[in-house]
Amino acid sequence: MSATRVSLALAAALWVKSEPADACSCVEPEPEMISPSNVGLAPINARVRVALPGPGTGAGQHQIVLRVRGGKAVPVQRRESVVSSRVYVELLPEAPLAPDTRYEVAVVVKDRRPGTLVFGTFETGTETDTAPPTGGKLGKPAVYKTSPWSGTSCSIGSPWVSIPVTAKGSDPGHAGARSLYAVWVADAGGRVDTRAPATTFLAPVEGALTLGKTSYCDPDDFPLPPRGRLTIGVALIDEAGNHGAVQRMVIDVSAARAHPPRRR
Amino acid sequence: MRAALWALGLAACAAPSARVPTRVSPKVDAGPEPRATPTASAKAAPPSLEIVLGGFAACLLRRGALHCWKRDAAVTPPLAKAVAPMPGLDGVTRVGFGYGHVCALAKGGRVFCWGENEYGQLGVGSAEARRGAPERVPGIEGATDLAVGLFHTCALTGDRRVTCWGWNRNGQTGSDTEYAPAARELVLPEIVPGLTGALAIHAGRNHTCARTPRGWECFGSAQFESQRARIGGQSPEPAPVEDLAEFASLAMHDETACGVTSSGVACYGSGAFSLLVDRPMRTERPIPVAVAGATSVAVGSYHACAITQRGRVVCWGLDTDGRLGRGRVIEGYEPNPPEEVAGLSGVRSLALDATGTCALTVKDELYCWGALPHLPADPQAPKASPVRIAVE
Repeated sequence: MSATRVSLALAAALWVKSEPADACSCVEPEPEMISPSNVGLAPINARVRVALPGPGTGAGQHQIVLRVRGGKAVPVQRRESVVSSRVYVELLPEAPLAPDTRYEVAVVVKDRRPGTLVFGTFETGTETDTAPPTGGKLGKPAVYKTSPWSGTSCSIGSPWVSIPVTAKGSDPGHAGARSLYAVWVADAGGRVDTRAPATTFLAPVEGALTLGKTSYCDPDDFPLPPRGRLTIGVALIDEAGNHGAVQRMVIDVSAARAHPPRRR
Repeated sequence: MRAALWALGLAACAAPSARVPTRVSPKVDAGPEPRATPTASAKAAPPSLEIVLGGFAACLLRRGALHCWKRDAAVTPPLAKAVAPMPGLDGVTRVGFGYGHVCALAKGGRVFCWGENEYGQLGVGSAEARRGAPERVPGIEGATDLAVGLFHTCALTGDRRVTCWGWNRNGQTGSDTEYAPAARELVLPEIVPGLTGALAIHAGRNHTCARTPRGWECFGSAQFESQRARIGGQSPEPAPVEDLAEFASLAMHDETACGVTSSGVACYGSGAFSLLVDRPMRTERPIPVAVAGATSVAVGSYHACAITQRGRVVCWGLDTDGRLGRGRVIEGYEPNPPEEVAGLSGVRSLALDATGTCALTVKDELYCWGALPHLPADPQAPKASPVRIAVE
């Protein structure tokens, strides 16, 4: 079984498991729809992005399905990135989606009853979106480190990064869509390859992007190194996969400073 | 002022694991071998009077009109005059409370729901997380029974099938598809496959049961060892439950249930430890409760009560707040064995809340005891004995 299949199997296993992770009473990890956002109408060339809990081991067999509501599965190409405890899956329909149609996104697990979890839905319009989003300028990243015992038993000591959004972005192809950023980790030579699957997707919360695990219960677990530098490329990306200008930034994890306890 | 009473600030929805009240108006299971009970006509026509207590509100069902008010509203009796009937709901025969939602079975067997909708428990195909006013559940006409679970709802259709909607993590809607909150707008009633000839339905938190000519058939989480051995921990497929074979009726609250059996009363479920003197943490089969001549039973969070053939009321379980009606408050967390509530007779139906109890007599007199913030007369002071509350 490939690493990807193993991780996805665990995603299913975690869905099956209905207990909090520990005494910290974290919300049970669930598959999460990232985009389309189900706000307004999605373009017919939309991609579907989801985040799944994982990776790990598990024998469950399952699949992520994009289908017309109550209908057949849509043929897709799937690509994904595994980021510590999450798997980001991008489904690229092999043909344009049907216009004015409601779709649903589901996890299907063969060895569980109920065997299907529909965790996302969206409706298409009639347009194809080829215009990249604009704006969405980011400020200088700040690296924080929360003390393991700084006010909550859910605090952890690992570093995390806050990147302020200094200029609001807009998507001419889907004005109402949720603003979303793709993050690529640069290779050893510092190059950012935007043709590769994004390492993760981030939506601004309270005017900033947060990269890394801020508390024990934070589902995001971006693998920041414990020290040293990390180069990333960040770009506003729309539901059809068009992205704006890539903003390259170097994160110095060694410069992490204390931050008041926070939980997401 | 009257209108303001139905500005229900419905409780914020907690995780489905929360142990909270779910209530439906009293009913009895009509079947091939049911016992005669005081509420046998509940489905035929709107009852003259019923009261239902929920965790966040209470409703009075009076000749087909539904009067509902917020749990902590300062209602001054008589209740039916203090609270205006809900507009748009006629011929209501049943009403039930989930954790944060309410559903009513109205004229023509139509179902209306309102309140929290995080898991699509309203069944109206809405992306909204709550609805403040009753909305008709589409596609249901001629329904004859209603079962409101903590986060899901079921209706018994005119052709004796069961249709359910809402939270389905354990298969309690009988469907093989679960909808996450992000997809709740897709949730609509679905007929439970393979379940026919249903006569009555009951819904808890994680499981649902229907009475059929073949016996009790349940779906969702397995309640008994015999089920677990056969279906595993859970299944959306209705399957006969032999452990309930002796049950003539059933009353569910959360994951606790009690019923009238051929030999008295028996209870089971994860919350039964607060009801049963021998305090099992998990019941692998129904545990008998010593109540002679019971004709119906009602279950609360920490206590249960039965009506006997003489129209008397017997209660057992935890008594904090005086909910057992024993004339004094018995503190502590030891379940108390069944004992008759003094001073009550001619009782035909019961309504239980986490902290209190109400009884309606054949003369439509309402008596309540315990701590009931829904009701007037100094709700802070527990009444350990029945107090009559004027209705009209």
